[in-house]
Amino acid sequence: MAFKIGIWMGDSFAEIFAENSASAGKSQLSSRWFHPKKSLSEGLRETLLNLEAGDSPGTVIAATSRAEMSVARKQGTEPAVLVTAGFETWARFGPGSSNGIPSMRTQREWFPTPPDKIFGIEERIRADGSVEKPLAESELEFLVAKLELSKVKEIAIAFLHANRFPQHEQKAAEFFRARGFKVVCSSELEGDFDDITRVRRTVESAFAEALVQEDLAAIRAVLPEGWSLEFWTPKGLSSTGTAALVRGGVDAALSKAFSKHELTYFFGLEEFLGFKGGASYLLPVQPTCQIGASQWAFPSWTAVDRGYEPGPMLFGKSHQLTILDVLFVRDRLSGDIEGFSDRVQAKSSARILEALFTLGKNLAEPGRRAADAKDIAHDLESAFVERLAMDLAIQNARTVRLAGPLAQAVGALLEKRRSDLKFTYDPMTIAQAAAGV
Amino acid sequence: MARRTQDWNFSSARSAFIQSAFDHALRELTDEGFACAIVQALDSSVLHLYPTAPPDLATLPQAANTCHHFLKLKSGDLALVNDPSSGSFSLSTFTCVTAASLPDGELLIAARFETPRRLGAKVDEEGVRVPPMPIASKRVLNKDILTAMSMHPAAPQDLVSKIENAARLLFEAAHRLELIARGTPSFNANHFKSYLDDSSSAFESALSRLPLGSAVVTGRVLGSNEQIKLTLELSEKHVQFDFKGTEVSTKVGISELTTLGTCIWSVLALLGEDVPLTSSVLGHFQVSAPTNTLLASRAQLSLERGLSLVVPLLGELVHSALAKINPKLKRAGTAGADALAQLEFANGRVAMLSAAPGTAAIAGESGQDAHGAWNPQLPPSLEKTDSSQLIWTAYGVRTGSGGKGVKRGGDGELIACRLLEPAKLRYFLGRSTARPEGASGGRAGSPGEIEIVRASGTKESLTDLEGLVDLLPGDEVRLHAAGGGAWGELPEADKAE
Repeated sequence: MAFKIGIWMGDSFAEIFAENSASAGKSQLSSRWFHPKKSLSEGLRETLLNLEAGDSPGTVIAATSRAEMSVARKQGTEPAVLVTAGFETWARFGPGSSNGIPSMRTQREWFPTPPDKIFGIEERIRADGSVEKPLAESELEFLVAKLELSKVKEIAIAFLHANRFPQHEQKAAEFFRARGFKVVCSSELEGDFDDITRVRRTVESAFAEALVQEDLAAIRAVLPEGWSLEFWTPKGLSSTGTAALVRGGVDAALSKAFSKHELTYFFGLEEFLGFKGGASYLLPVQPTCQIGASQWAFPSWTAVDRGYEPGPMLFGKSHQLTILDVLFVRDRLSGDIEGFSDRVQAKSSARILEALFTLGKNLAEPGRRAADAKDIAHDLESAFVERLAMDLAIQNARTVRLAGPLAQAVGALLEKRRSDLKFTYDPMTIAQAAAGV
Repeated sequence: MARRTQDWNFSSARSAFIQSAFDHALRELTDEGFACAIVQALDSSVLHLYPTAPPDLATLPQAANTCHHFLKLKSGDLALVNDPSSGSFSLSTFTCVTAASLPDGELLIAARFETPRRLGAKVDEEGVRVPPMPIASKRVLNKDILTAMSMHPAAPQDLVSKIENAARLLFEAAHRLELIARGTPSFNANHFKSYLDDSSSAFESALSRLPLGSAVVTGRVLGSNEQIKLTLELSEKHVQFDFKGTEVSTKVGISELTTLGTCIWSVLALLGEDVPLTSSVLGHFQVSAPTNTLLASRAQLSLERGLSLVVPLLGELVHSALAKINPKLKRAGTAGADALAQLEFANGRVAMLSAAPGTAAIAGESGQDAHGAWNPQLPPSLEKTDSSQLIWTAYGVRTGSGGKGVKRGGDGELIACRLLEPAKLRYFLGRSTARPEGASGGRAGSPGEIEIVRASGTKESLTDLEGLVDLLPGDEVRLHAAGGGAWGELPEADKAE
């Protein structure tokens, strides 16, 4: 195929990279935009026009973070969950979210569906895969009416030990699919999970399915005849695009793109990632994590990822500080970052400094003067750089590849901090990595 | 390596970074549920603690120090210990200790993991006792010692694989700390001093939110009826626990360190502040428990009984005393202990069932289901695979066991299995048999119980503190943990519902 388009669907941003290798010299197009301002269909349509593909066939390869983000933002459709009878409430169990501090208020991880949508089905498979109790198909018929009444359209099926004997799940899935329900089965997931992760992954996939399909429908709507659509999954490209399959696809596309480098840091607008030895990991600081009070007499990052709705303070709407706001008032984001810089409100600087001053005032010991907002911004930036330097120390690499839209901004700080390392810059975008170009 | 000094305007900003470095180095261990501690070998100061149970707060640093005292640990060495006299609190919890070699001295890293608990009348029936023992050098495990240990009839089945996993993660954590120290100038012994000072200030600031005063409370241990008397005094910078008046016991007891850890845990849990846990913070707590009383026991008593009967009672007493000083801190009751049932098969194999209680409701917040009162990260066990001897028939929460109220008590855990071979059931419901009371008009939670459904269909309910029952193939055991007490009286209309 002479025409190839890579698409990245993020939580708030989208990217397209297109290549025409038919012309004498290869031509390439690239764009990134803020989701709410332009739809995916619109973006793709514009690219196709500019590419001047005419009637020639081509390929679109999509990498999406929407399945993960749907769960992280709790934006999706609550599915019905079918589990082995006797284990209904077990499905909601997860590791308690603890930070090792004694507390009476620790919470369990959020579960994407309420208890009244979890149904126990009479069936039992033993740990060795043998059948202890056959699937009671009569129960499924009874359930249909119940699900229709509660207007449920998505179903997650996660029977005990189904990974060792998937036939019960398959039979139940077939039954519900024939009646128009969308079904995700735990035995269809790729990867080796423990029981509880398998259940959670299945339910999360069903929860995110509608959102992922909405994106794919937007792409298909403008895809010219003769063009094919493929998706990045953790195992490579697939022609099937479901939430269960595409989860982890962005990491896979980037891992492949950076596989030749000793260590790569990807400073994206939504995530800061590290890539080493073919594996990816989250860097210890994330771009939109909220800054707030901490146990120390100094503000710190919280685990709360604010995302871009309403966005960091520098976009002019939010009241929640993030590291992007700190970098902004430290004049680190002055370059032109496509899809991002045009959203920045210059007047936000005063608001951000005011918010930092208020944080400092709340943390100051009684009777003492509040710290200067610029001093706080300085130390927050130092802490940000030190955390990255800590990861650099642990990775113990000599050369570091920096990529992503914020690479120049953060790279300047890292180069100063670790002048003994060799830093190189890579213009690779996620959409380009998705296209495999 | 470039060691450019980072400028900081605030020492607390650097301290926050140091804490994040400890967190980062231990991440894989804590993610897998290990309790962890980092201790400076030079002066035994505790730099970082990640406890998963109240006794960890005092016993985990002690285990690290004891191992180092006897074995002079270096980078690449590994020690193992579970002996209560060397800083453990149960024979089913094992602690591995290694050292990270930093330019200005060694840091000891301790990681503690649990194995299935074992019921016995005396401590030595509850597992194999391991004094501080060197089990690895230059990162190579001594397989002969591990094999010999695993041959002991009371050794947990998967002990060796658990030690191997702990060793791998500990060596990785030590290596990370060494690399961080090499590449990050803010991370050194000199700055650890200001880090400890800052942690003390942070704690004092958190403590200032509690009202000052003193209170006296008493409670009796379930079963033995022996008394604990606590005089708690809260001043600006210290929390003092005086247990003068507590009875000497020959039946049940816990060690001084377990008492200390439980007292600290209880205050911190009520404080609800994310304070750094360092020796400077722990130093604000003072405990005085007369020797040989049930809170400073030296007798070889069952540790599991002490953990089930005394630790939760002690926690409840600390909270009662704080609520006496400030009634706003009042909360409902919780069993605070797991219900335990041990299946003993003819071939010598033992399967332990344990069910966690629901937690108490507090003003403005319902209790949590199957979460344990003292262990905030207690995960549901996922190792409950079927065997040729039993098949699991139910696992989840015991719906409705939490008390009803404006804020409901957490539901206890429910776990059930059907036997495929004959077995003896040795059970210990302990404090789970007490009915956790509600507060401010909220209803009490349901007490724990064991239900036996015989193959014939007849049902038996076991509600004693402990006992022994014969079971046959086809019999089903259903272990119900206690629910937590509720907070606040329900309006009349809701009561009827």
